[in-house]
Amino acid sequence: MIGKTVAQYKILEILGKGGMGQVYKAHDTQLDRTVVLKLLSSELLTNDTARKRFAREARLASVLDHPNICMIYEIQEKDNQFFIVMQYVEGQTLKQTINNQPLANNTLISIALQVADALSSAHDVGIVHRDIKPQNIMITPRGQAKVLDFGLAKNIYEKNSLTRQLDMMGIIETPGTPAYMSPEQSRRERIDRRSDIFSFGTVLYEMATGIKPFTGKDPREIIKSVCEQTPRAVTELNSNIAPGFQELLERSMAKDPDKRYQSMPEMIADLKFIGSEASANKAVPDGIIKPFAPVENAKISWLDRLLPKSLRRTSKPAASPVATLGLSLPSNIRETTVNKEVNKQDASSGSNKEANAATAPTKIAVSDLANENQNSLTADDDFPLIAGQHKTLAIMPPKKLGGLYDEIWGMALLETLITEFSKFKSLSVRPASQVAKYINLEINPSEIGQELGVDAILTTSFISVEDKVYVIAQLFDTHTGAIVWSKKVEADVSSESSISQDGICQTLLLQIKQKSSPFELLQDKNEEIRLDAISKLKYSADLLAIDALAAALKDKSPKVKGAASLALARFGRAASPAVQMQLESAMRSYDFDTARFAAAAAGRLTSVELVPLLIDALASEASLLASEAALALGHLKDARACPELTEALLRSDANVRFASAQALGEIAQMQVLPALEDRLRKDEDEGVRAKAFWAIKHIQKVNY
Amino acid sequence: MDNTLYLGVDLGRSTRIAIVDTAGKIIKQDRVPTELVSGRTLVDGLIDLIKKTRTDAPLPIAAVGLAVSGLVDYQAQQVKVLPNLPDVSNINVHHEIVQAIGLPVIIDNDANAATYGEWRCGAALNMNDVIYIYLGTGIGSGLVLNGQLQHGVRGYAGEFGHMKIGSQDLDCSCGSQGCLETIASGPNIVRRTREQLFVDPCFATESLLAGQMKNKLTCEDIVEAASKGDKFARAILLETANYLGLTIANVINLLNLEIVVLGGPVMGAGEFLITAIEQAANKYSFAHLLADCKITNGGLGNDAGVIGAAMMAYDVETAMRQ
Repeated sequence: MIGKTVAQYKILEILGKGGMGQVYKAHDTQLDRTVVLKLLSSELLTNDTARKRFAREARLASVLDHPNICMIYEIQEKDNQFFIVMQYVEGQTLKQTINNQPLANNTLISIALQVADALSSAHDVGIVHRDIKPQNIMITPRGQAKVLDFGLAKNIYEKNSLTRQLDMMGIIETPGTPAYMSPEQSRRERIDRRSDIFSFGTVLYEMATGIKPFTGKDPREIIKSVCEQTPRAVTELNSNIAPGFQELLERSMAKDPDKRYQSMPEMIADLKFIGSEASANKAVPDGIIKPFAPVENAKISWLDRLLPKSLRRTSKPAASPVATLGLSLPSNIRETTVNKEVNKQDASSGSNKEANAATAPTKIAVSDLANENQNSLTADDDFPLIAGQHKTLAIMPPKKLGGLYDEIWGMALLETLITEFSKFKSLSVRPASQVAKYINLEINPSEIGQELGVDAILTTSFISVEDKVYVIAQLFDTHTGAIVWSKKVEADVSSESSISQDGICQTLLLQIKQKSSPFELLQDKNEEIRLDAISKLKYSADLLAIDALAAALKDKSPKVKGAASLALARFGRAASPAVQMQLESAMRSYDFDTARFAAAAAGRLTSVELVPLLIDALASEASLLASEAALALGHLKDARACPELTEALLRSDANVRFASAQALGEIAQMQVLPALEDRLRKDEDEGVRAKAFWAIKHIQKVNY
Repeated sequence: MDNTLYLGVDLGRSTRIAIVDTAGKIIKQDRVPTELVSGRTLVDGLIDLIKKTRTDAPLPIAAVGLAVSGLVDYQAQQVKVLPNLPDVSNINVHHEIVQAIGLPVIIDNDANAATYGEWRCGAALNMNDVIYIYLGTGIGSGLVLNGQLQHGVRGYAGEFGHMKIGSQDLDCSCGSQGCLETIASGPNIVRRTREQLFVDPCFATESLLAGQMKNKLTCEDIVEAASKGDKFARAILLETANYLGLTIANVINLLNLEIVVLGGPVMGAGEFLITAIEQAANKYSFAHLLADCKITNGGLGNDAGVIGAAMMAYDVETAMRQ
């Protein structure tokens, strides 16, 4: 084949040979670029099943549009050849990069995060790779990782999955590579994304140590090792490995899938924490530049991030978001490290005390200002919260959450904030005239950031309760959408005729040096402030925001639960795996509002895994829980729920009938039309009749 | 002739029948469920009802006016379409009633009849350029221009509910999409309210309607809650008012009307709804045209249809005699 031309592709060299054909490096003579051609072998050209599998590989990989997944350009049949054209990735395989030596932590984390993100993206659309190994990951000279070979991938949502047929027919001879396969894959049991998580864990182990975790003389022995043995701890083999990495590997390579990370985003969150130890934007010892910054703030050490702030460098007590909210860190890391440090520092400072301190606002007091003068920021300081030499900031008009003080007071605060923040050298602040138009509008920092061309947005809200006014400030990085800083400031106004915006502003400036979490505001006792925090978290790109919002489903206020459920919707299906367990737990709650809003979130996040639980909830006597479950099943468009939803059309509860009609319309199965027509004619409620009419029309439109 | 009376019949989901004098005053009235089994049973039931009511009249009945909630070919006096009763178009309703009772009979669309009622005896008395809009299960209207009720080429004029509002392309019972009726009719107001229960987390805890939504909810319930200050019910009705105002503004801009009369159960929501409709119409209308036009609630309430049908019968019978 070398030197021959197929369509516009001139074959240059052979790259490899597989069960289904050969892989060549080729030159696209039309677009003048190097590509990879994967040709179906001539013996299989007439084999319909093999052709289907070949086409399927292209189709599966082509739905994945991700910078860390090798791109499929096209699939063609020409010149008596059936072939896939894909991106040519220059560089070396991860196997070659490892070269039997442990990788440096920064390199390891960078590659790990890229591959994890690629897998997360595949899992989001229901695709499990099934053959993750160092040979299937390419590393470009710029350090970019590319996941290759979706030839064994499986779409877990496909009914009568072709993969399964192919497996059964022996077309996929070796489903996976024994040394990297999960125990369940080795046993040819049903697998899901957690199998990839196991395989990815074995790859990480090899990256961290230079050796495979499971070995043996032959495949059978390797599989026995995978299923039964625990590999040596990486800390024994690599003394420089980042803290927390061993725990991460233990969790990802757990034999029981239920004990592993349940989703890639969960694992990514831990990788990011672990990666915070490594310095950002720096060439690493083995020459790989890090293209994927692992954490938003690499200056905080991994240990510090796990500790309450009281145990960091300052003496002020405040709990970390991690400790307060129980975010998804490996549980053993969280408990052991924190407890150890607590004991060392102060045996009396229990977690409750810290949590209370976390939510306690900073109070304005003259003595505080005087005492903190040495820590305060001056006009000569760099603004510490945004990276870069020249930074631009827009301060949004303060939003009134309630109480006596009005928007005019807020605008005066805005002017003061603009004046004070403008004093930072290296910080350019937009004038009030440019931001006034955003008064009373919902703020989407990324959008406004783009509109105003700024690096960061500072939002403030205020509420007055009796003789106190609270100001909540949050700073967003407009490029990432992450909340990088937030603070609640309390001013006592009992002895003053008016509140000093200057005082509030000075206190905020003092607090800028002391980072605190936006998630702390979700613990505030004031409902308005918690609601405001949710409205901000909605626009955060931080994965932790998803966790925090899911936790807020258990808030005592139905308003907050509802707002959290709506806010979660914004993250879409991508967030579903990250919060699945929290949603499950919330849906099983005895509090109907919690269960209701969790059901709503499950629908909005298209958490298909929760369909059985939603069907159970549909049978609930609690009107709104059953109705939200019906609506969620409709959003999920899962035809399995049709019998139960059809039955629910006859329930005495009109809310449930209404929601079921909506759901059946969205699922759009023709066989439910008679039941809907019956409701259109006979339902006593005109709203249900109108919804049944909509559903009938929608089903007809979808099916004709 | 002051010593004669007229029968007005308003055929909808229920049938209202009234004996009306020449001044448009109801002498006696009754309301029975409509037999919506087939066209045949409907017409037979109607004839029996007219005969029975006629025997109860204190003075002779001179003519009968029939208002139906469907399409009527006014020129041919044929009922063309009745919701849920497709076979009615096979029956010559006018002929059968005339044969059965031996009196002149006039048939028109119910919105035209209500318009006629408001124009002859109600809020639009002595006015020449009028639109009456009925807001109920459906949305209908009637137009009086230069002192003449307008029927259009066949009698189908006035389908106000099927004017396009454009912003939401929901399927309509007429087979088209984006009609005003898909937002502002009674069932669609209830539908939107029910949807809001699941959209706004505060609805369940704060709305006066939340408790009863497990059971039957009607447009009247929503109107009542709004009149008691329920902000959720008001929000639904204000959105409705905005679409109504927009559509009304289009008609005012086109026809330079003297009065817009609004009737039907939706309008029971009190002053705030009519004010909201006025504000929306004001926003979308050409100011000079709106200055000439009054927007008001009907004067005859739910009786506009039967009174209008009877007054149509009176006027037709008088014209026939002359």
